[in-house]
Amino acid sequence: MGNTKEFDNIFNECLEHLLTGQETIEQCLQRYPKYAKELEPLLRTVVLMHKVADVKPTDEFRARARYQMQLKMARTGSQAKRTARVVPRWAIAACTAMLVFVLGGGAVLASQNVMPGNLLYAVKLTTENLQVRLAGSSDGKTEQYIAMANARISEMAWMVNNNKTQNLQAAAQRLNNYYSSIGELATTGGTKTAFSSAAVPAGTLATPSATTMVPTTQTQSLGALTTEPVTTVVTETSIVVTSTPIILGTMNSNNIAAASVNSNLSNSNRTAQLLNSLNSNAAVQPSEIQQLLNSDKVPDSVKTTLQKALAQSNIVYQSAIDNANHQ
Amino acid sequence: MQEELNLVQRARQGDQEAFAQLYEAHFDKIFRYVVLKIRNQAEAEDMTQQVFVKAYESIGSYQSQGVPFTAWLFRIAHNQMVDYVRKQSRKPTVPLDESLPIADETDLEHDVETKIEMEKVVLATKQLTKAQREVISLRFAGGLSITEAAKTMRKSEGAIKALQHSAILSLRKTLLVGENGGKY
Repeated sequence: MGNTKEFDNIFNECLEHLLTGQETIEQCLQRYPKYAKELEPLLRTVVLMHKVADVKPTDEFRARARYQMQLKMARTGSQAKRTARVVPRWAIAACTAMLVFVLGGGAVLASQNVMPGNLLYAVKLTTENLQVRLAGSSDGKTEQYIAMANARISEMAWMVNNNKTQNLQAAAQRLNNYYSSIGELATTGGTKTAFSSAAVPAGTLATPSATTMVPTTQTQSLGALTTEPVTTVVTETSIVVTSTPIILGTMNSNNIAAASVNSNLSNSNRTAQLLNSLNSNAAVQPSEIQQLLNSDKVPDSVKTTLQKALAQSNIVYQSAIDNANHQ
Repeated sequence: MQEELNLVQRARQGDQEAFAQLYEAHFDKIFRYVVLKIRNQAEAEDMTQQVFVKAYESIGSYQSQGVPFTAWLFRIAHNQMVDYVRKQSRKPTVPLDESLPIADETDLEHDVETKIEMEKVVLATKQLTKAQREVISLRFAGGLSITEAAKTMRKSEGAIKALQHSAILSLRKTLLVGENGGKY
């Protein structure tokens, strides 16, 4: 090597040009033939490293993250203006309506029927999380998490059956998060705020990337998302009034009836309903997880996460059942 | 640069539109930086969101004296990751091929080759020192300039260049060993 400092400067200059796309490796080597032999392997490593780092967020994640940020800003804005309000539900509702408006009224409903990889899957996850947010009582939140756990287990079975295993780990992690939340709700009564990590578990919003649509049966729960905010919003702000028909337009009469019945449940009935749900799922979900664990198509790393979910499910369901029995 | 300074100034005063523009300008960079370091897409997505929530909550107290907004933002990301690593230190890690997204998902053959290459390089980065890894992440994933990386890491520009150079040399050496089955 000639002058080390000179070589360092040339290397840094070429690296900068490569990173900014001003030059190719060959162009750089042509400019410095004297150092070409030493420069080339280093610059090839630079290009390789640059390629490794060229990871782009998915469009679904970008849209979801932007929406979450808007939600955060709306909440902060409303708190600044109306400090007396603890939970600015109209802000959540406004953002929900905005999401529905932006994505098109049918998108939220349609998203309930999609599997990981579909563009609307992010909407499905966001809708589920909003349902947790709007569930109100800890029993309601627990029921929502049970439904979300069922959805993730069904999705994982579908992914395994269709050889689309790239998103299994994300689903397994979400499942673990739901069980953690059910456990926390059973022990604390769900005292944390809805958008904290307990009420909306970390990892619940990540999105996969294939493109298949498969029907599921989750449309009923949309009623819980849409009726409450709309009722509140119409009386508080004119922004959402224009969106109301869009939201209601996505609901069928069964959704509305289900939401209405749900809201009229007495506490004892609600607890009985929760107990029923806990008892049936306490038996079914672990066995479904075990089936996934028995599959050769599930990678070992996912199995590690699923084993944790299986262990958690046994503890958490027992804890939740004990808690519900003592209410 | 002046435009960003104006946006930061407005965002500090509570202008949400200004913050939204800063968010859009830096979102991809922060995500790349985070995902490269923790190699788990789901976690990286959550963390990227947390970085911006934290930035939004703290921007009112941001002081620009000597620390550009970009450097401040990446410090938040770095601190979030330190917390994450601390919490995850006893949990099993997620292998790269399970979770790290790649740029082009349409070409399956390219997919596999790229993933293999990526895995090799990421494995090679494990041989780097913490400071070398940080420089590589900031420069290659975060797209920071030498000056910005220096401000983020509170080091001189010369030190950043030296770390970058030694990191590339070390990566090259490790990759070469891998290619030759452990022999030079």
